[in-house]
Amino acid sequence: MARDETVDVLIVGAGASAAALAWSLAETKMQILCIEQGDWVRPQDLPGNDLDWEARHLTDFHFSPNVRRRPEDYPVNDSASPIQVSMFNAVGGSTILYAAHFPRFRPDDFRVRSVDGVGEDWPVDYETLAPFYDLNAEMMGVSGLPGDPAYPPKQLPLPPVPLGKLGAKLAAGFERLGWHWWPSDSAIITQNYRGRAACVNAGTCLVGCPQGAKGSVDVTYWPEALRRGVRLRTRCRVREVTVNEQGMASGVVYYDAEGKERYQPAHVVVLACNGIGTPRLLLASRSKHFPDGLANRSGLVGKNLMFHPYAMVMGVFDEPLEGYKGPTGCCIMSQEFYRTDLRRGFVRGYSFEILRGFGPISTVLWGMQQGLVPWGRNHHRAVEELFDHVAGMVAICEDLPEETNCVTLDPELRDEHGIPAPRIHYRLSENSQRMLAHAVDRAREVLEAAGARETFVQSPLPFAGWHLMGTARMGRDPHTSVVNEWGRCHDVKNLFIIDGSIFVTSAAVNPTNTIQALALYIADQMKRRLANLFD
Amino acid sequence: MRTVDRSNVALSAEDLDVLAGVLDTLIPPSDDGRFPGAGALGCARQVAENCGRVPGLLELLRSGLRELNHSSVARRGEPFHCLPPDAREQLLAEQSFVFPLVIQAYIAYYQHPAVLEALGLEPRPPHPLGYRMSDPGKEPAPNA
Ligand SMILES: Cc1cc2nc3c(=O)[nH]c(=O)nc-3n(C[C@H](O)[C@H](O)[C@H](O)COP(=O)(O)OP(=O)(O)OC[C@H]3O[C@@H](n4cnc5c(N)ncnc54)[C@H](O)[C@@H]3O)c2cc1C
Ligand code: SF4
Repeated sequence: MARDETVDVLIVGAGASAAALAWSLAETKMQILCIEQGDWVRPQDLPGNDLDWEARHLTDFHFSPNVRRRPEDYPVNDSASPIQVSMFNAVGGSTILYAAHFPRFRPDDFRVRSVDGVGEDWPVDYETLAPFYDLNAEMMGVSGLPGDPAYPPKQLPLPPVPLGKLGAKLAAGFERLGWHWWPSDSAIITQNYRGRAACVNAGTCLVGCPQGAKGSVDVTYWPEALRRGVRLRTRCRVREVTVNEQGMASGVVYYDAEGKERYQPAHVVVLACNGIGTPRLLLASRSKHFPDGLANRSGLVGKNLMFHPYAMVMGVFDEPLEGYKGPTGCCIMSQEFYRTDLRRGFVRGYSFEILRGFGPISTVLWGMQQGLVPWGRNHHRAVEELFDHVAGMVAICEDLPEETNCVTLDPELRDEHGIPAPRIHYRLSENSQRMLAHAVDRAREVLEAAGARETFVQSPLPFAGWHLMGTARMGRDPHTSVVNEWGRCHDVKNLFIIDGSIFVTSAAVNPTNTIQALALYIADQMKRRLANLFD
Repeated sequence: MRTVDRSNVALSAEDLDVLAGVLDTLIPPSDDGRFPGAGALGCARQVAENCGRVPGLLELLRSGLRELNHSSVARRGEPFHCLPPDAREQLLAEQSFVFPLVIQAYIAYYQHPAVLEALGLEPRPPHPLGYRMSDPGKEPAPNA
């Protein structure tokens, strides 16, 4: 097998967490290499430049790797799960497709056991991460309105995305009911910023942003990390992490762009393959030291998978809303039902993320699914009643960790290199089901208060497995966690994990800001401990 | 802008005529004339091409179109696309290939510049020009 030159730090995966860590570690002048199975996505190749942009959302830019089936995708057996896995494999990882809704966790989210007696407390707290949230806001270009009473004070570098007619309409519904709402923190630049051009409200964020205004990490951290000397090798898929006689990580075996097997040795290995890809790789890396998978002496690798069950509730309004304008998932949010209130019949809570409207194709397909759009002579009337008249929201429900919700290796399904595919075992808990039902009722209430004449529900939303968390969790006790409080595996002292796998609980907000704040914090800890990193 | 390769459409000219008739039945012209019929708009080739990308769908479409035309000639004495709208609608409602086809019909139709214009949109892709939001700077503030 061909052997590459040893590097100091090898990062596997080039998504949200990898880019942040690579950029931060680069100032040490160590030799840093990142290996990514996907490629760069060129802005000119993104669907938003063409009239068929919505159609490509259903094919080569679908959320699910099982539908896209690009060469860089691996299959995921999620056929028995009510929620399907969504991700993207490229430089930038899933941030190529993400909506860039960018809230922070709230301080209480790190102390769920202490506050509510469920889940576990994190070994880090909000105060520790706050400077890294601030740094991340600067690097990603976060827009928002300071002063949200739900959070400790924070500064954001850019003003919020415009609410537009649609946002103002729904905000009025929240006002009418006296419920919390606030313009969303968004990793979308609303003014020209650090060499990037401002958002033009084109609304194609979920199939990529050709403008470069959405903070996908291929346009934020990566260019700066590469300028600082980090190397990035694309179209290379890692098969396993190897260990030496002492049980320390020694490097990775990977398939290069031509499909040849190669060995890349490294002093430190960092995994950033997301909450599905990382446990898959660990479980596939078996050796005499680790017969049950690498760093898995706790037995918790792959366990405690959390998704955030979503409900989507849409309303039909009489007047046009200009909903096809503006960033798709970034408008306003509400945390009215965020904290536990046991009278509701469940613990913890959810937030509402208000969505923009649909484009023409999505409107018609959604309308067809709801039984509102027939073919034939009544078709046009039905479409005209819907197009630009639909607005709504998703409820993002806190998912609690359960060992039975997990990722294992599929005994049969493999990717094109023969690496076992991940298999998802996931069941919606009673708590989640009650929370979803509550959220659906409240969403209907607020849409009606905003003037909707009819509402439509999808709960749980099937392709909404885009927040991948918990499958190699953090903690101080090696028996109940996989990595320590600064991301180092308890069992392998030169192996780090920095993606959503290390989350202890899920909170009820989108995770990427916290994933990146943690990656920056872990990089900072590594820099402070360079002399005795493996002690 | 990306160009679409339309060279590899595996339907015969006759199939495409029937398909155009089917599309005009699924999405007929609107009464006020603002929206064209999907067949008259020329969506048939693109629909066929898109069906070719979904495993098994083009075969289903081809056999469905031939069966439909066959029963049209047998029962009404005319090829499907020559029938009046009501008769086409009736015959088509009996066909099992309509569901997957109607999705492809909507996808092709609702990206056509003429249809975007009829919907009140500018007939262009969203990027690079984007959109101006109305009332910038006059947004409501949250009541903290
Ligand atoms: C449609 C969609 C919408 C979303 N919206 C939001 C949102 O609004 N807000 C938010 O906070 N989050 C959102 N997310 C989630 C967000 O994208 C993820 O939380 C974030 O990207 C996770 O970062 P990560 O570093 O853990 O992994 P990723 O960004 O997924 O990166 C993992 C990378 O590892 C690579 N990889 C995996 N295995 C291997 C291997 N064996 N060898 C080599 N490379 C490998 C993959 O190719 C991939 O590029 C959304 C996601 C999707 C799909
Ligand atoms: S709305 Fe803004 S962020 Fe979204 S794709 Fe368009 S320019 Fe990019």
